[in-house]
Amino acid sequence: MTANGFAGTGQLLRLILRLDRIKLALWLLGLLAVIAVTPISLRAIVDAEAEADGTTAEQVLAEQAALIETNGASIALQGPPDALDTFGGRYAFEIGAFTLAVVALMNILLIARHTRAEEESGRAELVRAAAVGPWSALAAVGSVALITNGLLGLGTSAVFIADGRPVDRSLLYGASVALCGLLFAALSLIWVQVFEYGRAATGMSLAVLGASFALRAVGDVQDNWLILLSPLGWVQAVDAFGDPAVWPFVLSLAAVVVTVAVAIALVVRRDVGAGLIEQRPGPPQADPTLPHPLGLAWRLQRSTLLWWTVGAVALGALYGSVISSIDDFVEDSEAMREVLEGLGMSGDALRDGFITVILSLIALITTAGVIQSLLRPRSEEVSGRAEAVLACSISRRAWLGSHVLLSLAAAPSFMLAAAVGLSITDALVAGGFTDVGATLAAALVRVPALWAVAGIGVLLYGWVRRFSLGVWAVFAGVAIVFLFGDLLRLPDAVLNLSPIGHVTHLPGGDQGWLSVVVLCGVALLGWAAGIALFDRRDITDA
Amino acid sequence: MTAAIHVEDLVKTFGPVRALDGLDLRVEPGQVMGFLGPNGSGKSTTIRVLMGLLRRDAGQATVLGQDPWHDAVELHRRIAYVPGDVNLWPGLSGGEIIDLLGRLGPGLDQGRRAEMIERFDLDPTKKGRTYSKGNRQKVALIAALSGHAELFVFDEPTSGLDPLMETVFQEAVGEMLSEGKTVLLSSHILAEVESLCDQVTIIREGRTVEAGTLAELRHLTRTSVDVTTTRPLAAMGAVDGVSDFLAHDEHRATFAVANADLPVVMSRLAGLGIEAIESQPPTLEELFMRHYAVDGSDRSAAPPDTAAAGSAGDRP
Repeated sequence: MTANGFAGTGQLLRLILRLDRIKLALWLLGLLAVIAVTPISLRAIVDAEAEADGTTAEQVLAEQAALIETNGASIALQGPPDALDTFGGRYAFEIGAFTLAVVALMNILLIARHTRAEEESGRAELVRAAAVGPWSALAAVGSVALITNGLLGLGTSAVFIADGRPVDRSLLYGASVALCGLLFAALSLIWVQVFEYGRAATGMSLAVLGASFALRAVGDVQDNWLILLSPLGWVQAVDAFGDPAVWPFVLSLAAVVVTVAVAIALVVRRDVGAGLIEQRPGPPQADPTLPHPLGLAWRLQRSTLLWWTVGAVALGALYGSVISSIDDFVEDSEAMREVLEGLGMSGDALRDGFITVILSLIALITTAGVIQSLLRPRSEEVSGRAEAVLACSISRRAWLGSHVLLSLAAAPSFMLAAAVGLSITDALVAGGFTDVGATLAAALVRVPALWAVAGIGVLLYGWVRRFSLGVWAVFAGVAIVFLFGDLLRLPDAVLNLSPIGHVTHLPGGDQGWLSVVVLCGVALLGWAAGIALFDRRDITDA
Repeated sequence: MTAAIHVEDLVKTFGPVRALDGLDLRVEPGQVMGFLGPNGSGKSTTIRVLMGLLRRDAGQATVLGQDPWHDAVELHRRIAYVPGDVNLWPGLSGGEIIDLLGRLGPGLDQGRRAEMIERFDLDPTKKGRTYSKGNRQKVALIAALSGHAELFVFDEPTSGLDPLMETVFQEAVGEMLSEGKTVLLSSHILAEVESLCDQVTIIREGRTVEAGTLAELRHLTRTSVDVTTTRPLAAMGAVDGVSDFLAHDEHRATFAVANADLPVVMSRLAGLGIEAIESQPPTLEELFMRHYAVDGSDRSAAPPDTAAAGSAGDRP
């Protein structure tokens, strides 16, 4: 078995590359574009400021570094403030943990797509019936991950070298980016063995990714051992442009080797198509609430919605636990307080600023949950299950409307859950609640932004089903504007198009109600038009 | 009496593809209509139009006197539908799905539900994801057969069922008929159609090519004959209406005869002195093959002598 365990790997590898040639090329190009644009725009900003102040770029960089080091919000969002006085270190900081998380996401989806999803569809059975070994699928998709992450790492290094960064440091940074991808690819390989369904496996991998991001955020802000619990933390601890560390590579490579070995061992201990968790029997009769459009939609979505809510609480709680550290920054730093007071701000402004950034970030992340919920009708239709229900005495409006209603209710639930989590841990650490009302209000003000994105999604789905995944492109656009808008020096018109981050500066700022009204209008129009269009189009599977 | 299903000149296009190109279909109340056609001929598309899932581009369609698109919700209380490829919710049990589809559709009779689960031998506590193809089909069939529908629409309902379950299905449909229900049955299992259906509609490339009772359709086709005569019969091969002529020796041959030409051919044979004769009416399969054979010409009116070459001649 061992000799033939990998039979046919080459064929499968070519198959995956053929199936994914466009998808992976787009992922790589998108990521490299974000990475490549960072040095260009940052250099322009720094040079402009140096010229205005009559100093050198290095001095500007050092001044900005001092500011960033006290900015907990930036650190929580982007990573440890290492080597910020060098261009390389600053680029790496700006590229940040979020880009690394997207690299991880690419790998999670790649692995799930070619392992569990293949088994679920029954295609893997066809493949395994041929002269293909039990480990060939793993080896093939693993090789694709190696190739993809290798190219990404090399591309990243090339960007830094082209900017004039030292070759060895650039290669080191590129390697750390590639390593990040491989870590999450290896991790996903385990979950796809454990769970019988791709959705559950992907969900688990995403939960680990979310936890990694949050743990490293807290660890970076408090500068403590928590980053050791986070693969993203390891990758960022490489500190390629400051004082490079070797241990992250050793630890990461060991983790990859161990996880892959476990995955290899698990594959031959289970049946093709089966998971490691057994299925329990269900009730022989339906609950009386099930045969209603809303009851059915709730039943299909409830576990996703509950998990997202739990995730939102956890995310809020993690960030809430560091708010007090932000206050400490100000108290510890006499200079910082003077700077702030000079700007007419109190120490509270920093706290509010942090919460503003965090709530916007959580709004961005939970937008993905709302999108996932509103795309549920799409997967119902593709699988042919919508056909079975719509052939019953349910109107299309009731059917789609029920799913849309749940995705709408999801937005305030997620945001409130996060705000409650944040307030509670902040109170636990600080020893008392501070401005809970303001935090909850600030969380709710962001809800129309989520609704607006959902409205666009419903419109696309109702119009032509194949367009509905375009809502992820909208999401990507929103994320890029939110995370890189200032760095890219996008015009205000574009910045204002992003519903998140520019809708509000609460808590602590003024609230422009016009944007809230506009966003609600966009959302309402999207839902109404989407449902009306859905009433008129064909229902098809595949 | 208004027809249960009335479709006239139905057109449905998907982009450049004309999936339905002037299709006609008529099912009277209380009838079982067999709906046949090769893969991709438009059977499922027709059914989806009738279920209000697809919007027709042209032509007429009424179901139980109502418009399948505009009156969908109301209509679906009177129709039970089983798609060809049943996909179940992975996390719902079979029992839950039966209740869901039944109650959302034409209602559910608890007594019948229990009886059908028993007859189809289904474990209703298993989750949707764990059912085999045949069992998924059973779940949808039980939901459909346990209700109070007036019209049953089955799209290849027995694909994946074992022969025993096929029999259960046929019995259940028989009971529906005796209660005066109407059935539209699309199927590739011709024995099933032959035993259940009194009427058949055959479509090809989105058009109806044949419709009528099985008896009428048989008349359009041909009978295979195996005959032994006292005098040599080689000349029979040249007679009008005879095809696939295969002489076993001077006195014995098998061939096919167009039913319209049967009287002439039989009198010629009588003149040769028939020693033994065996004739076989066309099976549905042969009927079907005439229209399935890849040939663009419209042969619903043409003599059937070029079609299904070989199939009749091989018969002993």
